[in-house]
Amino acid sequence: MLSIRGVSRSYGSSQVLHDVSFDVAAGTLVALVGRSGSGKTTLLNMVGGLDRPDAGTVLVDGADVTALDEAGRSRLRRDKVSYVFQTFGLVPVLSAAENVGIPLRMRHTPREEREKRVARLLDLVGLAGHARQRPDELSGGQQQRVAIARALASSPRLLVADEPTGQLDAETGLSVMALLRGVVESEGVTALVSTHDPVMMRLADRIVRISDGRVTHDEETAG
Amino acid sequence: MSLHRPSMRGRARADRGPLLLTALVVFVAVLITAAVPPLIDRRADRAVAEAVSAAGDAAGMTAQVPFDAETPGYPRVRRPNSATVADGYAGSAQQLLNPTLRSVFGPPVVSVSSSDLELRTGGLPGRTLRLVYVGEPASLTWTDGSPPAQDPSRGEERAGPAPWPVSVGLSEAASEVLGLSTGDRVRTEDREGGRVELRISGIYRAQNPSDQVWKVQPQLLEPAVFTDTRGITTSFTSVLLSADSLPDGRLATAPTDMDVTIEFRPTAGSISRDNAPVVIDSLVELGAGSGVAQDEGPAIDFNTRLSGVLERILDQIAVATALAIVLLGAVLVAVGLALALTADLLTRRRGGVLTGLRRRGASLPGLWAELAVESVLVTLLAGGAAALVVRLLIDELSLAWSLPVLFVAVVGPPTVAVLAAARATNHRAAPANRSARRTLAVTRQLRRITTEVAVLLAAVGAYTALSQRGIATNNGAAASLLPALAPSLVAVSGGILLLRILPPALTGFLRPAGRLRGSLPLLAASRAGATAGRVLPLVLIVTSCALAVFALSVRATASGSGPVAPDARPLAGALADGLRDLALVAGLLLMALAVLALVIGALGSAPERGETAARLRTLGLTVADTRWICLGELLPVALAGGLVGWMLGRVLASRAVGLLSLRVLNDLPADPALVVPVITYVPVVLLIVTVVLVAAVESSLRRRERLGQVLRA
Repeated sequence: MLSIRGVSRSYGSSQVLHDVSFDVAAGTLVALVGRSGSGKTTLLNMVGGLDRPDAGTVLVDGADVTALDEAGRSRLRRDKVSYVFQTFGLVPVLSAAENVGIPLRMRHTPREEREKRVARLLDLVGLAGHARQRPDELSGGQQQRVAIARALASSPRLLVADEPTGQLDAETGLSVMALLRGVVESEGVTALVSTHDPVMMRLADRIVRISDGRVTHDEETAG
Repeated sequence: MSLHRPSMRGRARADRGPLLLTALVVFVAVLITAAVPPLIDRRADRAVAEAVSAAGDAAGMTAQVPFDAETPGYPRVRRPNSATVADGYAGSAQQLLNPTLRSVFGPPVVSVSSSDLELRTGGLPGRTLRLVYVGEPASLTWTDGSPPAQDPSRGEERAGPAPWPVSVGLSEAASEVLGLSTGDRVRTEDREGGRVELRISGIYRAQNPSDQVWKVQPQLLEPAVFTDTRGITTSFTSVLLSADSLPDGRLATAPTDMDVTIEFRPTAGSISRDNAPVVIDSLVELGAGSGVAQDEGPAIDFNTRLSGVLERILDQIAVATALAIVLLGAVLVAVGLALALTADLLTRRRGGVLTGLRRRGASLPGLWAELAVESVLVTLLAGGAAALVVRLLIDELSLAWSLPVLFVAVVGPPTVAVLAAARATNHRAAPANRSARRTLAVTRQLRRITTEVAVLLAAVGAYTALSQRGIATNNGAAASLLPALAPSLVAVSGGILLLRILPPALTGFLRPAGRLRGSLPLLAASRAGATAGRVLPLVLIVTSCALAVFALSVRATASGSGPVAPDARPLAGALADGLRDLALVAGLLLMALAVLALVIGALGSAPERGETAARLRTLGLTVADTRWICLGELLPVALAGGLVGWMLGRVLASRAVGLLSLRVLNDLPADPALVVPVITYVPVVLLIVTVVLVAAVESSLRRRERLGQVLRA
């Protein structure tokens, strides 16, 4: 599903990624772990075309992300790769349902179909009763659930989550983790999740550890 | 409290753009507010002199005296001292003038003239003559013959049988029109059929036809000749008497047929705006005693239209000054809002740094002092430069109207910044308790409503004051400030009302936009609703547009045409030009401020817009789509602000036509129709063009940025 080959990236004189390579099979949840500044976020940005490597290739579902132009990268994020951020990234003036519906609107999904899918996704993340509420009326955990629902709205092949529990308390973080694990199974998506959270690591199918921009550890978990 | 100079220098370097913008606003505002009051004053004085000069004969004053009244029943005698008697009347008339009028009017010109005499010699009808004595006119050249003389043997003798011959001089033009030459004897008759025989002593030419004497009696130089539709020609000619022939003329005509006219003309520059009211009072006083016989001398009847001329020009100056004050008030209010907006922009840029300093223990007075040093320097440099330019250009300076600008420029930026830093570091500003948060939100709402209601009440009060009292232009600026600010306060109120209406209206548009299939209408409507809620940009856009339309419409109406009565005297000259220039400059400046408000507003909301765009781009939105969202976000604010401002400005201008008595400027009998020139649409067009440019520039910048780095930031 995802193939990263020899990816390097530097900012000025600082080399952030050194020849990073690994593959992710479809339908798996991979935890990308490492200290702050180890290059996790940079690598996740490469996957969805938010950033470009200085060297190497990133293949998503067989398509070379690094060779895509701006419009191609936008199409990639609209159709195949979805992101969940630590800061949720919701549009504050839109309701939860409207936020979830944005990716569907971008694909010009018919209204009825869109509303059905939004309702189903909000139900999936446990927020069926909060459809009309705005982000500032929701708790942090609820906002992250909306963000996950939104990320799933366009039925992506790959879900990229960057520290999704970074701003949540332990209990809420755990529920979000469980949700992610659940949607990977129920929606059949592949997930690449950067995290410091040991619980998340236990929920993942595989752990890839990055240190100073290099993959130092890559193992499948027992669970 | 010590100032940290490296921080101050660093902040000034980092924010030199907004600081330069602030300096530019201060410079232009001081330039206008420091130059206009002295220019208006100076031009008002000049307008009085111009009006008096343009009034011509109407600005003069005449005194009429029956010449040397004789006692009925007594035999008529020839009086050789008739000229001296006539000159004595001039002295008597001058004695009746008070010191103000004596200082205003130049030396009087005395003339003695007979009633009309019909020329009978030659058999042609329609040739009317009048015997006129104007003293001994200087610069007179006798081209033929000699001045009129008397028969030295006559002395003071009783009148004999008519006709009594009178020696007269003729101008070259009169000689030609009447076909008479030196030595001719002609017979004339008065209205009663009494015969008067004239002898032409010589033909003269005036070396200086513009001499005051010839203005008083123009037909002494040039006969008035008229030809009617039937081809019949009528001429009116004055023939010249000398001091020697005046006694003969007096005796030759009927006892009541000669009058002395004493003509007074105001000397150039003797009447200014300051002394004109005293002159009017003096003329009224003189008129009240006119025609009443004096203790030792005849009754002198004074006639003048000078007071009417002066009253009209003073009224016009009052209206022009009131309009200038209103325009200055408009500039002041808009500039004040613009300075508040630049202060807000600076605060937004520095918010993080200042909050950080505060959290690290910096005191609020210390922060305020550091920022105040910067604002004082910026204000002094910009204001000083503007004052210097004004001084060099017009050699005069008045900073009374500039003080509010300087005050806001100095105090505004540090105060806004420190208040923001205090709010950001105040734990009570964001309580954890939901009920406390709600109470805090209600308190903020109440505070805002109170401010808005205060502005609305001020606008109502100012408008009422303007309607009832008008603008007192002679009681100093302070007395005039409230009514003068009426249009500006109404414009600000319009902005506040739109601020209350527009965000919910745009948010309301979210629902229909939500029913559409695409994402752009919904996203644009959501962003527009948020942006429209920002107070200063929208209020400044509405205010500036309204006042620009007001200024330009009033300018067009005041200088517009319309039916003007033949004797109407519209305000002309330097003051009229000054007023038109001021309205144009104010209109253009206000247009620029409207655009500035939009640009600063866009700069202020750019970080949020960028953040939203970045979030949406992670979902697959293209850079081109973000341009449409930017357009959709800013265009409603620009359009609503521009159009509401245009309508408000038009309403204000139409009300101002009556309230500011613009008809007085053009001396019209009724209020002129409002003229709304095409240029008033320019602010709306400029705002739309600015939105397109902002969206294009933002899109271009966004295309170059790396999304990963934006999200990281």
